[in-house]
Amino acid sequence: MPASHRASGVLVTAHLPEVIDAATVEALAQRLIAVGNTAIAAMDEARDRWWYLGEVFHVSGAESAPYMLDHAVVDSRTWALALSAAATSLMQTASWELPALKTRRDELARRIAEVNTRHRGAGEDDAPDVAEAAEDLESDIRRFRRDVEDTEEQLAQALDRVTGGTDVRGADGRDVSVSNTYWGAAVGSSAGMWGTGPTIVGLSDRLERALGDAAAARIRWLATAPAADIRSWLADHPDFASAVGFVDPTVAARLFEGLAADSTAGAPDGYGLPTWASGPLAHLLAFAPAAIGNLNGVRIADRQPFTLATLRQLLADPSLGDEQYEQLLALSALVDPALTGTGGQQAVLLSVFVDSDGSPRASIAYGDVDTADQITAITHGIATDLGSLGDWSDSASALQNDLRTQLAAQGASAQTAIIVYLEWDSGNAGNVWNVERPAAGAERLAQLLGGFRSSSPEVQLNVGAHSLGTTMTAELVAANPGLVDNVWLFGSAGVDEPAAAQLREQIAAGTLTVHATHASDDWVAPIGRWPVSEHPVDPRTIPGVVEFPADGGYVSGYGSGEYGERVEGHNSQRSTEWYYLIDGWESDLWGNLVPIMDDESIGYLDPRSQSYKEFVVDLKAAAEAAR
Amino acid sequence: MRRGIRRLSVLAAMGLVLSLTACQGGGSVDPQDLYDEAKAVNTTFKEAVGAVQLQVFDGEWTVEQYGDIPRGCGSEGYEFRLGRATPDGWRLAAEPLDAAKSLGAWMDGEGWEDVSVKTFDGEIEDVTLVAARTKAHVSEIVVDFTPGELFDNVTVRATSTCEPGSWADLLQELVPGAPSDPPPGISRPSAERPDATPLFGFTADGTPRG
Repeated sequence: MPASHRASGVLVTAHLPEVIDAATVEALAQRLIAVGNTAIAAMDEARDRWWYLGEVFHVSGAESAPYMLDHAVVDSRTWALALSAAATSLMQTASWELPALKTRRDELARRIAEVNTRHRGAGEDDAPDVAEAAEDLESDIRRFRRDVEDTEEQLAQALDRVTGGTDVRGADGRDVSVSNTYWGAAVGSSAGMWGTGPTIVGLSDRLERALGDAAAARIRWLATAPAADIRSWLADHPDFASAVGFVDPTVAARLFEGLAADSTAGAPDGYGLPTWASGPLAHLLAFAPAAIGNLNGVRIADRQPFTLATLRQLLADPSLGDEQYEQLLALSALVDPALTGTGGQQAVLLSVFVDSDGSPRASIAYGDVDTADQITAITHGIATDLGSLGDWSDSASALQNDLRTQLAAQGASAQTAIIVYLEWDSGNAGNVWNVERPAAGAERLAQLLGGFRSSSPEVQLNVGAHSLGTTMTAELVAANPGLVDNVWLFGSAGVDEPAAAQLREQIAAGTLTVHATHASDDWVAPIGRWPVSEHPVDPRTIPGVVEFPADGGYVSGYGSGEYGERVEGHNSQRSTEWYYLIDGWESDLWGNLVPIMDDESIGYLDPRSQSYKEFVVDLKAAAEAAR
Repeated sequence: MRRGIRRLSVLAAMGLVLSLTACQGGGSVDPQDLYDEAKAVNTTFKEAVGAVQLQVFDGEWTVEQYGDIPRGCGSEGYEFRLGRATPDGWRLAAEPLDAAKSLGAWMDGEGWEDVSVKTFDGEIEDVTLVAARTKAHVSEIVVDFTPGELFDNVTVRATSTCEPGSWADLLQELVPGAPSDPPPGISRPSAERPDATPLFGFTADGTPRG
């Protein structure tokens, strides 16, 4: 017995360890259970919604996508089970061990007070008994301390699979970053002198086929849902307006007919466009016009009020950037009769949406698409978006007018329409050797043209494409035999081997004609066909492809024959880019090479060029054959 | 198209071309001033083109592009594009080459610049005439003569010079409320005589602006 204890009048001074409040542990256990249950429920719901997505979208090459959350569901259940096991341990400790320890602690505290009281009042005779009691007590206190520590250790071991912190890790234990959880696809360019950065491809651009019945259900829901719910849903699904273009045209046509049957038409507006007074189409026109406006397979006359309403809705969005707004405003100045008024040759808006990267996209038409015997889509190469609408619109307007006039002047009754297809993201120089963007653009163009075919089964469908647009067109033709009748390729950036084989087969079968031209002054197009490219084939080398000139000369059949100017670069329209203005080199008095400069460069689809006029002549002949 | 070949050193050429292709930005401009300046440009542009049209056909031409909607050009500028065609059933009074040469001679005398008539060994009947008149704000005019079996056709397509100012601001001055709340029922003619007073903008109730 230590002498100091007796001197102080306190025999037992050992400190009793604290016992955690069982109620606190119990509350923590209940929280863990709640968190686990919530995680399972949320993950199950997410998985159910993802499965639903699989019913809506059919993505070629990504058939496993609807099941990609299954593994995450398993992980979430494993995680919740770990939380549940931890909660069980906590509950067991809180229910049995902690109360027992608390009771023992209270008993030991009572015995400490008792022994010390006896010690203070003990005489010589009682001292040995008190000392023995103190020794027993201190032994019990040491055992209690060990038991408390053992209990805490056992609890810690039971919780070792659950720790705190803010790091997020996947099932494989590796860190998960935001870029890995983006719902689109992040794809690195595999080739390209400049193409080392990632390319974000939105879901809609990866779709090959229709939305189907589930999409129809979504549009039906939009047709009757409260306005606030529609706004909320559309805000959560910004890709919807773009994805509508992938609804199967036959499904789209039936859907529109059903909605129209349940709606009451209003009087045509001041510009002769149809209106809807009540019913689901009136509701959609007011709150979700893109659901009909971008629906390929519905007649353009029926879509136009919806596309225009979509454009006005986009322009009213205060979050638009300056460039987005100006591009959409320029589109509006071209297609909205409320701005352009009646009269003149009116461009018609076929579709409009803002892409997943924030770029406005659209297609427009000159001529009556619904009644045309021949529809020809023209499209662009790299570094072209809605900012180039004016130039492409001019080419389309001139084409349509020249075709109409020249056909009428020779007594032909065939009706034509020219489409400007600006819905695809052709990328820039960093993408020019890849086929991914052309393939995605081809899928969307197939839907647009498929819609025309659905509305007018006998219509002749053609494509005139420039640069990387020729790569896209080859992908389109290869993947959709029989959809396109005639193709014209201007300054091709090349086609890939499988597409070249398909073109050769279709030409040989007599179901397709392909014309291709390459100006001698075009030094850019061959770069797209370099061996490093995924699309190295010059289409002029494909058997059966008809080459037509672009270096200036007589164009037989344009009117009664006319001179067409030489194409002076890779440019599609008139250009003042300096690198297209250099028209040869010569030596000065001191032997230095100096360039000979033009004021402008004539492009492939410039109405003055030989290639443009050859295009008109060929289209005239094709239109007469279509009639 | 080569028009007045210039020989320059590489660096000087690049620098000059880059500076020539950029219109000078306008900064903050009073909307009425912007409208007045643009109307003067548009009127002069259309009068010059209309005079050429009258040499070909004194009647109503079909409107392809009316020519009052501004477009962006240069770094911050606007321009107009106009398109007209003779009506179906119309016939040229002379052979296309003679008509084009006659028109070219008249334009040369009127001060048009770089007038060129494209022909090809005399066996082509169709003729294209190209010219400019920057003093009248015409950066380029292309007149295409195309004879047909049932009727002949002449198209006139012209682009104005690039003028300083915001095309978007000008558009909203021309069509008040655009694009979300434009005036109701505005219209432009689908056919117009070359000497008609051109429309240039509308008031809030949709009537042509004076």
